[in-house]
Amino acid sequence: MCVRTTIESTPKSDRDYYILISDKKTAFADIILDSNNDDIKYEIYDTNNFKILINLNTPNVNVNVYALYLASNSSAKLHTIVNHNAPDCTSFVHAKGALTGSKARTSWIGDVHISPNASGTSTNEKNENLVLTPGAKAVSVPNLEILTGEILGARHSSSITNFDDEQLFYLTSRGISETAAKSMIVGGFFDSIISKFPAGTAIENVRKTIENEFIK
Amino acid sequence: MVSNNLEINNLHASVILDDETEKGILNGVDLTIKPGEIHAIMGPNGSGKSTLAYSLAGHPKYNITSGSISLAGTDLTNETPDVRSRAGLFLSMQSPAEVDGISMINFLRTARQAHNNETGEKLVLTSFMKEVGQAYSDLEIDDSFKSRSVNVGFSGGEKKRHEILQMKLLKPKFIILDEVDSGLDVDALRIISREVLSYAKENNAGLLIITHYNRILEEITPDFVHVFAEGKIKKSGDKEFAKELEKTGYDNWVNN
Repeated sequence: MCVRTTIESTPKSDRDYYILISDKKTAFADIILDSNNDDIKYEIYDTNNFKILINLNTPNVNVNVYALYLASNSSAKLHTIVNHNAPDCTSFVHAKGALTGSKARTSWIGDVHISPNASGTSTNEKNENLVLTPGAKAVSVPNLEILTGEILGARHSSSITNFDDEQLFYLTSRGISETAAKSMIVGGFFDSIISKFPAGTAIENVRKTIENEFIK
Repeated sequence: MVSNNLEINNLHASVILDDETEKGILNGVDLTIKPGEIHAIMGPNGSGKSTLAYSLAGHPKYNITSGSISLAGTDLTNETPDVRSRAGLFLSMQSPAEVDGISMINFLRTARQAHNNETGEKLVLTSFMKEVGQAYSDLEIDDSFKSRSVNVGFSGGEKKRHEILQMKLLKPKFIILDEVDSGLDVDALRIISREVLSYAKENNAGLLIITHYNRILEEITPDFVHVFAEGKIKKSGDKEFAKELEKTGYDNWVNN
């Protein structure tokens, strides 16, 4: 299912996109946004394989993509593509994945393409994965293609970390039960993304999914 | 009559290594600490003294193979770390974990709530916040740290001060300080020692200081000093014994 909300365009464009991938059902969504569709927000549910393509065709647009993908003994895939086709745009893609169950698999591919006339571009891709169960596997592939020397910045970072027993010990050593401590740690991992989501979106569903599938 | 002591009886523990084999570290530790007493355990690196601290707190990496730990008559040997904490045991760690996305204040409140649930005491948020503010000022920490993620990006000294801050807010019966003096400047050591000592005095709490050096013992005078080597207490003495150890080193207590 894909819900789209269109809000009125503002002259100076700040666009935020929120992506949630949180189910085991196989589905595929491919959404192409062009710069005429400024200020469009998407929420995607019930899909475990998602691709978003953002074309930055007009100058001076700032785009942020906040994505969560959760795999509970299943697979989840996210492919983000940002094409910088116009000068002076900034893009930030922050994708976080969590895996539970030994059969869980995730992949994130993040393509950023900076075309020859996209001078003044600044781009940052950040991917973080939390592996809660041994055997679960996360793949993280940032791809950066830069065809102009006139950019302000291009960064990317990836991390895949295992659920930290030392963190769990620390919280429990202060009297917090193991279940509550796990909930705090996993919740803390997602916090930097979830806190960005606007109220009234599928946040509650996400929190429930995290609670039910990832904190047991 | 039930004793209020921390009793460690013939404690044996092994560490579970990455390849899942076990290696014995504690080889029969016997120690009784009465409320209000200050004990110091000194020993060389690798003697197992930190293992003792973490075994007392219930770290899952350590496996207690025999012996027992009890606090005020309650057997804690097989209990999880949270139960031990709520029973009144507090371990100030040498390198406390960093936990991103959980604010210090949320962490402190959750921990205190867990303790209050045990005693049935209601947690009144306004008075708790006052207590937290007081603790921050006592430890001479800027209270903007309250909203930062637990230990993330804190310096060594800031982490140690927050350990003692937690001690004050969780009100333990027994406190274990694991290498609290390592990496601390003179001021921080003085503040931490002052706060630990005044808390222990006011609450008649037992204190176990685990250290490699004499530094902390110049700030907090122990009633008993134990030299620890090869996984057990080799000899015990009074505060003069610490000075003697400082001079002679630990070599006499380690075979080969």
